[in-house]
Amino acid sequence: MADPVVELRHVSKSFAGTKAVRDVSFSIERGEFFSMLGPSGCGKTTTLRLIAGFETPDADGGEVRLLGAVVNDKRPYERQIAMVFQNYALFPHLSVERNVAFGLEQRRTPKTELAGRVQAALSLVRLDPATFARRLPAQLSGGQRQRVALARALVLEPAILLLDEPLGAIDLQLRKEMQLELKSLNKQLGTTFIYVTHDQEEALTMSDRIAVMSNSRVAQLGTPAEIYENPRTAFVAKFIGESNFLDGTVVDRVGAGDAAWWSVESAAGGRFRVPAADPSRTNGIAPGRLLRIAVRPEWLDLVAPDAVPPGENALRGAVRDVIYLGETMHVVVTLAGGGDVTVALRNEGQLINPLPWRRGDEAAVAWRPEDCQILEED
Amino acid sequence: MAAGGLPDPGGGLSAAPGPAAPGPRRRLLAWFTRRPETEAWALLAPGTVWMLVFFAIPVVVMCGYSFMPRGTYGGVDPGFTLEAYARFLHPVYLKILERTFVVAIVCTALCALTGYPVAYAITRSGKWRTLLLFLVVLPFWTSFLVRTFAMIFLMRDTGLINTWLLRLGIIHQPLTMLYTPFAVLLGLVYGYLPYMILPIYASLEKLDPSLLEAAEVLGARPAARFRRVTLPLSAPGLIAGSLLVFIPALGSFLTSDLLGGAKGLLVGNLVQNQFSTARNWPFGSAASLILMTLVLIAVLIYLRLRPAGADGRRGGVLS
Repeated sequence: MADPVVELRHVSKSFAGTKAVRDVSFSIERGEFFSMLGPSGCGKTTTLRLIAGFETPDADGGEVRLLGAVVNDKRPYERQIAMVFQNYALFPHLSVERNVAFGLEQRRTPKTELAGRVQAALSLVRLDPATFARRLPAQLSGGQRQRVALARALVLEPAILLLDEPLGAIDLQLRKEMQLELKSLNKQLGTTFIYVTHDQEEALTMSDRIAVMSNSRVAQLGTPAEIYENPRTAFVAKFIGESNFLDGTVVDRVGAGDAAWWSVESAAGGRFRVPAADPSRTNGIAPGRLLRIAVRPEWLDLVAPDAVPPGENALRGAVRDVIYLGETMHVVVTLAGGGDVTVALRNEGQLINPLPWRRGDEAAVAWRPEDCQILEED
Repeated sequence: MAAGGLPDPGGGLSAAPGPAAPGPRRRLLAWFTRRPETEAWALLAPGTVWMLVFFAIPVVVMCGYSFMPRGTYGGVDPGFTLEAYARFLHPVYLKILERTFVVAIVCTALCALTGYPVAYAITRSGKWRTLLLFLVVLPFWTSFLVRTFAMIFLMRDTGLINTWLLRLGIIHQPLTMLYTPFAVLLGLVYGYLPYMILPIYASLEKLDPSLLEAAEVLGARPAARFRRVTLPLSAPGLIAGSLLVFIPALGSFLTSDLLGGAKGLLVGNLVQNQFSTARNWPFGSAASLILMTLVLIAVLIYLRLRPAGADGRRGGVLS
């Protein structure tokens, strides 16, 4: 396999003694749409700035490699990157065309080439050059500015495009549209996109892979499906989508081979089983150990206490709240031993009339034992 | 109160009775809220009155004086004459006018060249920023007159600078600094520098750092970033500062009076002399008005000079 386009090896960065990025390692392939996702202060923007060259890693803070070469001490203009900033950072004193031409002019692009490339870049982001070329940034809407910022970066035909929460300031409708457009630009141009966001839905929509960051580290790295289906820590499970958490104490191992289970005494009353077949996911589990699992609301089902499907886990409780959301209905159940879980029921047409569950109903929360994720410590 | 005219906020407000009789007050408030522009007029009124009494009327009076014959003991005699203006065209006075402009322009340029780096440094000085800004305005705590006298003590032959240079063996004869154009420029630059620094600082401080980062990613090295981003975006501050220095420098008389020699006379000194020792009020008025008119023209030209493509590159990219 070819060298990765971007590679971080044990990169650390501190500011005045505080670690902003701690031992972060990952590599990004050519043409990939790679997102760094996390709450504010998690280190995602600093990581992006390390790749851009605005920050340099600590003296013993590992290596940033771009296109195979260590670039730790290279300035941003010495790296083959372009960047779209959070607030667009368009030059307010320059017209749209001058903004887009800026990078080309700095790179001494021949005048004869200039006009054609500016025009092409504006068309690429679907801004009509005839209408917009002479306008100043102040005369544009947020979405249009966004497109100019994108054109200004893409006109340089960079190997790597860095995007720092570029859609944060535009409204939801436009944001969804831009998400799809960015994704198709990524595939169309073959440029590697590195995208920073705190919006999990945005990351899931666009990314080939996501690095979920928390506390200056990468908490989990994987495809959107991997991260959603198999969150490794409670933080990831909570940050990407919704999750229910169940604690318990491991009692014993039952069955063998593919049908091996750990039986767990739930803190919320009753027992449930977790799969024991895949040793990589159940490392270190032994009788007497405390255990925490995550179960997505849509993996749970709500049944009458005496109608639990055979082979499924079930915990008993009482319906506390029924929240109608259109596409789904969320039923919050207070378990017998305390603690709430949320069950998402799909609206399949018969849901609403009559509402199948009411507050106070006795019910059992059921799920297939394999539909859960055993969590590691954060 | 005439319709459409200025309300009289002083009289109106003091006439408004206390809470005991809410009727008229409520009526007054209603009158204010009914026409929002009356509120604006009321806010403008004190300043307008001030400028009318102490600026507009004196200028009109001065304009009148400049066309009248001089009175024997100062003042003016009735009549109409262009004598004062004709006199100003004499080469002696034109030379003074020229010198005044040269001094003001050089002073402005020196202030800009020394003030810009200072303002730039202050914006990047982090926690020292407040202290540095305080130091910039610190000289205002002492009167300009006192500070100018202090410069005499610094620059005269037996002054601090010469004493130290002699003592350190750097020079063997005292340098003649006082009563030279150099001394006048030094005094003016010293006096007006804060007026240059503060507006430039204000515009540099507003500069979004991400613009410089954007320029850097786009390939601009430090010099190019300054030329194409920092400088054009701080131009408003530079222009404001230049006007704030140039205009008073043009009308200054104190500095040249105290620090300049007889050959360093500026229009400001000329005007002062005509009203005091020479007792030629019409000529003093005419000189003032000529200077005012020229300042106005110079400022208008200056503001017109601002390049449209503010980073020095004109025209479009496409077509």
